[in-house]
Amino acid sequence: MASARGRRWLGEDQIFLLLSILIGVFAGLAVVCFRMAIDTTRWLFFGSGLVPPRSRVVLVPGVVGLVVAFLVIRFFPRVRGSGVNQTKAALYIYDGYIPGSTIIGKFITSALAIGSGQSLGPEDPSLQIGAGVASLVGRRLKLSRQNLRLIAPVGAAAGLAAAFNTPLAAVLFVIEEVIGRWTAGVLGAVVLAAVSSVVVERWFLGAEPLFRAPGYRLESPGELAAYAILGLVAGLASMVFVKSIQLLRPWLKVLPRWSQYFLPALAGLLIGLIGRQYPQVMGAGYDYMDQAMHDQYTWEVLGILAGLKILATVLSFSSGTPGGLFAPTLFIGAMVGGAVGGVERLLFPHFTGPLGAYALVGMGALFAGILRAPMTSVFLVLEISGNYAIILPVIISNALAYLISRSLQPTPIFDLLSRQDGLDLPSLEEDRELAVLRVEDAMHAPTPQVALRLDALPPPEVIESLPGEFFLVQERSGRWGGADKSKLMKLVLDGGSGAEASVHTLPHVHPDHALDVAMRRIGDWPLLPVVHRAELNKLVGVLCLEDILETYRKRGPALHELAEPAD
Amino acid sequence: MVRRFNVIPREYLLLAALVAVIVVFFSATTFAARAYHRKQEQFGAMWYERGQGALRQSRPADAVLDFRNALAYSRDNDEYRLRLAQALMADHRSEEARSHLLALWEKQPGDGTLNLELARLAATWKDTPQAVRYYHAAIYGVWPEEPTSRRWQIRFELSKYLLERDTPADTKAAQAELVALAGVLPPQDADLQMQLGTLFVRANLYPRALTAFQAALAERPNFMPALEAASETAFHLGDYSAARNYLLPIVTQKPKDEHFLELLNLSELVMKLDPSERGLSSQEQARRAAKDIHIATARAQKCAPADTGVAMLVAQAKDLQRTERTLASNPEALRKTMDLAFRLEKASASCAPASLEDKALGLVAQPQEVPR
Repeated sequence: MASARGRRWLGEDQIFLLLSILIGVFAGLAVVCFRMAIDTTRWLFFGSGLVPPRSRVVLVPGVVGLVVAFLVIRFFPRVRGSGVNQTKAALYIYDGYIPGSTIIGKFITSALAIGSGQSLGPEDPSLQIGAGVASLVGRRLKLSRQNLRLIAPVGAAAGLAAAFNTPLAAVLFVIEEVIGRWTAGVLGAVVLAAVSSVVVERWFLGAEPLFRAPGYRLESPGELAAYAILGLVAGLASMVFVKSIQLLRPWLKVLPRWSQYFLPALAGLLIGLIGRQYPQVMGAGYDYMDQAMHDQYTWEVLGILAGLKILATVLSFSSGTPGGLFAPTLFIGAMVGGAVGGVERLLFPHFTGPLGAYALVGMGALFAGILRAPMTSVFLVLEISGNYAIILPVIISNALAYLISRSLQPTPIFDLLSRQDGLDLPSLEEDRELAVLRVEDAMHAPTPQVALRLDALPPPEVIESLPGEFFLVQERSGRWGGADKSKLMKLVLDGGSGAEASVHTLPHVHPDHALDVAMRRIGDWPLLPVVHRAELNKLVGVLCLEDILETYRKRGPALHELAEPAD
Repeated sequence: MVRRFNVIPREYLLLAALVAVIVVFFSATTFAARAYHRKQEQFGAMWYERGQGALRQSRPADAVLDFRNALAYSRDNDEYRLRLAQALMADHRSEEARSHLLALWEKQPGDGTLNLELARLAATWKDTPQAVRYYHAAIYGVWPEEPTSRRWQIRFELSKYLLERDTPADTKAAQAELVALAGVLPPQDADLQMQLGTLFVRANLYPRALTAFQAALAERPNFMPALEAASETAFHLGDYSAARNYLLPIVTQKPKDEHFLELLNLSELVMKLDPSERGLSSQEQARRAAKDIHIATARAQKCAPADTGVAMLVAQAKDLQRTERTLASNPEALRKTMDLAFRLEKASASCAPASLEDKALGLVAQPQEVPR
């Protein structure tokens, strides 16, 4: 340990990484307990069978919905809504602060809601529980504001990784959706937290992947066309799902306060009524996804289940019941994928692979379409299935679903939810889509009036007649510097002696550099040389501060357009 | 930002405290997880037992639900998944069963049971190449209990499947499987030899079938199914002497069984009428030939008024009237006589009922598969 004088045995970076590991372990333990709590709740309410007893299937979600609403409204108001957005809010608004009561509230209310059959998943709450644990630990350790902000996403990655048993997808999701940038420090911490939480989760709950996907082999390249069709259908299904939440949630939110106590119960009652005929739509539904992957259902049933799950999830989520969208998204994807595969099998029996492969690819496609995390969706499918052979269909379907969803529903669901909640959180998808302004967009072509050569300076009267007070000058070494008009004239008059001293060394930029780089480098210099990357002595352009500002002014409005709230 | 993270000694203490909290939390979670897993195992075992019971009571649909429930509590339990697949097959839901079996097969491609179930599925779908591939994988696969007898039974099953396909190529493949099986089956196991012989008969390998039945009878001389099969096979092969030997005890035990009684009578008649039987004197050959032409002419005369072709043959027979002495001294005359007798029998087949003697003469006319 450190001495009383504070001598450090570990560097700051190492301490931070060590803390990430501990947070990962902590979050992993919390998620293990959370999952056990959900299962235990379900056993208590419905017994041990997959199909709940018909006598309880309507009653339980309704009654438990009342209890959940009471707890949420009276004791844990912050547990409503998406855990992803609440973690983003902690990062961007509340300096990494997530109250301890939110962790407890999310744990209890989500376990009750999901265990009683509300059509929601445990991953989103797990993510928030992980972030909350990290925030709590960070506050106890009195981390700096900046580090406290960072520690919440680290915990979020740990929570999500433990919930899905997918460390890589969790890291990608947090980077892609929550933090939005890659830096070595953040990445290292997130990876360590995710890995340590998954180790804990596997220690307690086993290492098997979420699904035992049947074997897949691409029989012919033509089969990829079938997966492309799946991508299109998944894109449309994503749009229906997001639009439904977009319409229903604000409508329910403005109802009188007393009615909020009954909304989760009403949603539970409706889901219970659906569950009498189709119990598959209740709860997270992982077992039924597994069954869909093993050809248990006909394509008609799969289609019905997809539609009913969309309805049930929209009801549960919009009613303010705590719980996540990840598992329902995967469920809808599995059913849509299986249904599309079933239809294609009917039409082209020799062309279609196993339905399980379609269900699996469908999961990824809906994940890409609804949650709009295309990279995560690919790796998630690989990790939950443990099957790398399926990567080509996954990439094709996910890309198409993502593009279709984006074109039909420009605002991603997390941004939509945050704006409905009155928060203006940064949209990472929109950030990704922002065109980067580059030096080549702002620079001018070099002219003899601006760019001079030290070994061929014009006579003083010519220099005197040139516009401007500052010039780019190519030194004898070939490198570009800068000099004032007065110094240049003095240099010519002195016959060239002291030339190197008269020329200032200037930073340079390249045409493909972002304008932000040029802004940082230009400092107080009136001009910056833009040089070729392969030939540093070749001047390809000249840049001044006015050029940069003018370019931002002309091309800037796109940012404002994108930032307009959707609702 | 990470670089600005200022560490003070107090934070080390807090880290140590955090580790202590984690240790406590870990212990509590371990305790809870044990109880949770115990419960899961109980539920899994309970549903598994229910499924087994449902299967035993031939309620595969219920068994499917039960095994699904069991599998939900132990997703990685191959035994549960296999039973689920078997229940699905019993419930004629082969697509679902196949999917589960393939998932298991990917983990254990050399498992005998899995390959056998997949072979049966492929056989259900008439996918012969796949079925044969899985059957062979099952034969050479891993069987924890009684591997040898399992392999024999699978080869029997494969042979039966191929014979049911009833194409020349599949029959040939079945013959190869049966020949391979004959080489490894213990000759002292009468039941297996009986099974083998029966399949050899279906595969048209009568001599091998007779050998198998004989092996069965060597072990159990009064094994009635083997006696019956051996008698019929010997009869089919034209070995009427052997057939008679097998038929005598059958008829003794089943005196009212008309089929075997007729076979016995036919066998004895053939043995009396066949002039080509080994070891006969020329006089006896001539006597038999003369009797044969007499039997054939008698039947043909019933047709002659209505059938000019038969009438011509009857006329030829009358022209060819030879004494037994002539026939005994002239093998060519004997051959022509027998040839005419066969032609007469053949020509009158459609117009006059065949007596037992006519039937026996017909059998004498058949080309022989094994030398008598």
